[in-house]
Amino acid sequence: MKIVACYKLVPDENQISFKQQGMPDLSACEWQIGQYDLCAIEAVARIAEKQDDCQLIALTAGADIVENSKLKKSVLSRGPHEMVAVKDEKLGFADSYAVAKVLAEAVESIGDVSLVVFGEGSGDVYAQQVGNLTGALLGWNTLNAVSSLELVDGELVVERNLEDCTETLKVALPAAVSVTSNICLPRLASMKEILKAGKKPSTIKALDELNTDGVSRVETVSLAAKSKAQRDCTVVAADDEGLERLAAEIRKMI
Amino acid sequence: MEKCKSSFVVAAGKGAILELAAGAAQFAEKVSLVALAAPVSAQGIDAVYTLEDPNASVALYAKAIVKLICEQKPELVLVEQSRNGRLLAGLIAAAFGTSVQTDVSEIEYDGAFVTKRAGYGGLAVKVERSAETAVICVSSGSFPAAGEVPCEAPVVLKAEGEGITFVEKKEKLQQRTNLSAARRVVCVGRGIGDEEKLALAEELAGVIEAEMGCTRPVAEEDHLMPTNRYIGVSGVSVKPELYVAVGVSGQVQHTSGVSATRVIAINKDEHAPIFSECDFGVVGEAKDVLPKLIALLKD
Ligand SMILES: Cc1cc2nc3c(=O)[nH]c(=O)nc-3n(C[C@@H](O)[C@H](O)[C@H](O)COP(=O)(O)OP(=O)(O)OC[C@H]3O[C@@H](n4cnc5c(N)ncnc54)[C@H](O)[C@@H]3O)c2cc1C
Ligand SMILES: Cc1cc2nc3c(=O)[nH]c(=O)nc-3n(C[C@H](O)[C@H](O)[C@H](O)COP(=O)(O)OP(=O)(O)OC[C@H]3O[C@@H](n4cnc5c(N)ncnc54)[C@H](O)[C@@H]3O)c2cc1C
Repeated sequence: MKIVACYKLVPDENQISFKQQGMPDLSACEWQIGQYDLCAIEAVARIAEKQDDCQLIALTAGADIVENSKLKKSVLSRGPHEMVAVKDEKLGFADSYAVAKVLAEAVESIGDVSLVVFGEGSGDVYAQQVGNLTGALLGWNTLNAVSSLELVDGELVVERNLEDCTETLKVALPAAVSVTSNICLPRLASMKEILKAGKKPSTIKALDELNTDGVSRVETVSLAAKSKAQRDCTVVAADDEGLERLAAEIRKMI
Repeated sequence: MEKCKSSFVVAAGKGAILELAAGAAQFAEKVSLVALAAPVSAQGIDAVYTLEDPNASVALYAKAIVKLICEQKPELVLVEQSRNGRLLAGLIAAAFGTSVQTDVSEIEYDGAFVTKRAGYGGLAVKVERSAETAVICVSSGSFPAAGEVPCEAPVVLKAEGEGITFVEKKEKLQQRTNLSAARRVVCVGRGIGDEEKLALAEELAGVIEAEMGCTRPVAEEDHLMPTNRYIGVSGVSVKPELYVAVGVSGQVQHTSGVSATRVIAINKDEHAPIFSECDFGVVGEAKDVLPKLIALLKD
């Protein structure tokens, strides 16, 4: 059986600065695997480890960054047997529909996939939509908010964590599910796994190898820094005087 | 104002139905409603659809809902921003060949739907413009509520999902919070560490009559507080007069949910980002600072 885990490479928000015109400057940013995508990878790595003959494939779409060898090793040291990336300049800026089309085509081209999992939402835009859209485009059973995932007799048993209840469902394969950030804690890869990761296969596909154009449907009109409140930023030590001042600051407001 | 021809509202909660009905009526001549839970209707709604068994999973009705909306080709679909809402919005958008505009706080119509949302954990504001059909998930509080009217003769939708079987549902027993309306908030981050220090923070909240809030990992990883109390882009937004952060590092995903008149921070690391986001900060251990502060305030 083949399982695909989708992950997005995102810039570290703490390092984003904004240029004069308002667009973000990502040039100085370190890139990382979306924090919540790690939970999705872990959830299926655990399933794959329990199955005989299960191939776990990590899949991403993006610009040049998808070829970064440190990030490739990082994902491959967390359980997947191989990695597939679709690379195109456009994909760094594509909307969730364009990304979903690319991922759906990539899953079709891998062939014979039974399950695709997604994180709860990406680290940067966090629209929480790529999984739902990809599942719908594949025409598969599609669910989000999955907080527990098991494979029982060739069928998924999932728990969905909704605002006012949790529900249990059985889902026939093939299926596309987006899991919550607390489904499980991602592992810390051991040195041995990191070394092994360097030898695992990875494939980079160009967009024109797939039957889609990567063009966005929803247009981003602008992306600008949000204006921030001005704060005094007085910082003191926790000595007697500092604590007196702290108490006075709080008293002023009550 | 220019209006589009037709729209759909998809929502479960009564509050959301009344708000989205008012929103849709602003932008469209005709408004149809898919009520996912109890049958509720609002002024301005022209047709209501309900689910045969609202106690089963909404996921069983996804195919029927997508089919219904596709047949009627609305220019606008407004969806409640809940987890089920996000799922349905994605499935509907895929059928129309477009993306969902999610977490939207403002909408304008000029022949297309132009929306505003936060990006990069709240660092940025993203303005998006829809294709022919706009599928939009709106944050609550974006529109004033329409008046409720009796829900008469709704069309009942039947489950169509063969691949998905409903097993069971468990209601959550979560206390409602007053966090988003609170005038004072004490917020604990991972630096609070354990129940004992949490009790100190709760005592402080008691003394200054504040609501308790937390960061996402305190609720989701440490399970020290319920998940409806975490503040930030993916949690509750607060706008108190006073916000006191204890052991909170001040990552943008958290601070973008806080718009307070005065921000006070207690953190043991003088380089914590929260110190450049606060009005007054104390560098110190929570377990030392809190008891002394409580004693001073009780004086
Ligand atoms: C500089 C910049 C400009 C942008 N311009 C536009 C624009 O013009 N129009 C626009 O609509 N959007 C734009 N975007 C946002 C766009 O690239 C989003 O990243 C895209 O819409 C995916 O949605 P999301 O990040 O909200 O993912 P979510 O829906 O939150 O992601 C859910 C899950 O899907 C999976 N996933 C998401 N993306 C990928 C991926 N690329 N590869 C593999 N798995 C993935 C992950 O498992 C993730 O957890 C821009 C972004 C940047 C950085
Ligand atoms: C897509 C996405 C959405 C997110 N949404 C949210 C959200 O809505 N809300 C949210 O909160 N987070 C959110 N996060 C997580 C966010 O990025 C941070 O990880 C989180 O806010 C950090 O929580 P924290 O400050 O409690 O913990 P940490 O970052 O671990 O900080 C703990 C702080 O406590 C201090 N400390 C430690 N011990 C003590 C002590 N004894 N006394 C005093 N101080 C001490 C430390 O110096 C440190 O600064 C999101 C992340 C992503 C990727």
